[in-house]
Amino acid sequence: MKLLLKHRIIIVLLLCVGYSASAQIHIGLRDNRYARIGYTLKDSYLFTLEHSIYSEKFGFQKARLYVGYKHNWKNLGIQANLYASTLWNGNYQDCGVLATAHYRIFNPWIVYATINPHYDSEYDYMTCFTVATDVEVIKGLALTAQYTTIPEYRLSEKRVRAGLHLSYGNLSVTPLLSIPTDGNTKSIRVLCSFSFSFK
Amino acid sequence: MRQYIIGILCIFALSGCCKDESRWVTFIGDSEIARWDLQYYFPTLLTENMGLSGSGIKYLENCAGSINGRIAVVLCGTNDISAEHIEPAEYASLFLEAVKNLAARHTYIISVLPREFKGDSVNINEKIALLNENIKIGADVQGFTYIDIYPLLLKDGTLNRQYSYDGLHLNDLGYEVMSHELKKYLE
Repeated sequence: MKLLLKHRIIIVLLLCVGYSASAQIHIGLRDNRYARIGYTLKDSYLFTLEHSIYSEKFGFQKARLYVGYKHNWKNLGIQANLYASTLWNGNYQDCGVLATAHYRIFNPWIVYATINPHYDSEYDYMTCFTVATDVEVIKGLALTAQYTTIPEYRLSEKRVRAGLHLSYGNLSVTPLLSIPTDGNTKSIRVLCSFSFSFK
Repeated sequence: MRQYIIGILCIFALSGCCKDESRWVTFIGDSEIARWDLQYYFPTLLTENMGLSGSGIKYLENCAGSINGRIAVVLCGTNDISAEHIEPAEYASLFLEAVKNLAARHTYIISVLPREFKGDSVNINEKIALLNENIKIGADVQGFTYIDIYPLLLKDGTLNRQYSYDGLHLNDLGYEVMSHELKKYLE
């Protein structure tokens, strides 16, 4: 029954992909360990499928589906994504919302805030957030600094992340250093994300 | 599409009714535990790190009852065994008693790891091997699962320096080996 439901979701997603010309597809990687493919309809409606690439057996890999909406005004942008995920062996599921607002204070400086109500079938409910700022140094290169409690893997951790946003044409790359605020230097992580859009 | 989303959220909400505290895995012990990036190596498990750098059996004794009902992974002993007066057989018995008193639902004991640290006595790894033998025998009697990492990290009778920069603490490659072995049991 579960498998049937997953198949139906994928079919609905593929039908959406097939039926519009004003669309954009993007592929990429999030935080080293999540491959993703996404589809944007009419510049506003977002559908993304994400799959983990943990060094684990297939049953312990995680698939996540995002459905979202975004809109931009002059200096303000909002984006909201509903997501739901499961391990293939069904050990646990999670779901939640990622709601982000970003505001360009003046030309090179943007601030972001994300709130993430998140539910995990074993861990229960938690509310996580990120606050971040980007400063564009030159065209295509921005410095970024973030404070986040949104899980990089499964559990919430308090982390400071600093790094770069690099963009060139349809490609954007974000290498980040993720440092825990509890002082455990052993769990400093180097994370890399990238996205490529086919317009 | 909306029906599918609502359906998925309902399934997840219902599955959450069976929240199971016993699925938590608590790692307890010395700096080898404290320095282990558990979220990275076990991204799908609910893990808790109770490692304390420099700690030994006294720390385990002080934590009696604190893992009640959860799964425990214990790695401890290297800080104590380096002291000259410790007898492996006697120490193993005290260690197993302290582990039992953690009151975990199930306990995995990781063998004490080989070492080649500045100031170590020449026979330190023979002493660790003897301690592990005693822990293994006692663990079988108590119903604990003993996980023998010691030989995996050994080269020419001492710690393979591929797995440690300072001869005591594991590096990322060492943690990779230990995590890979542990996953066979936890999953």
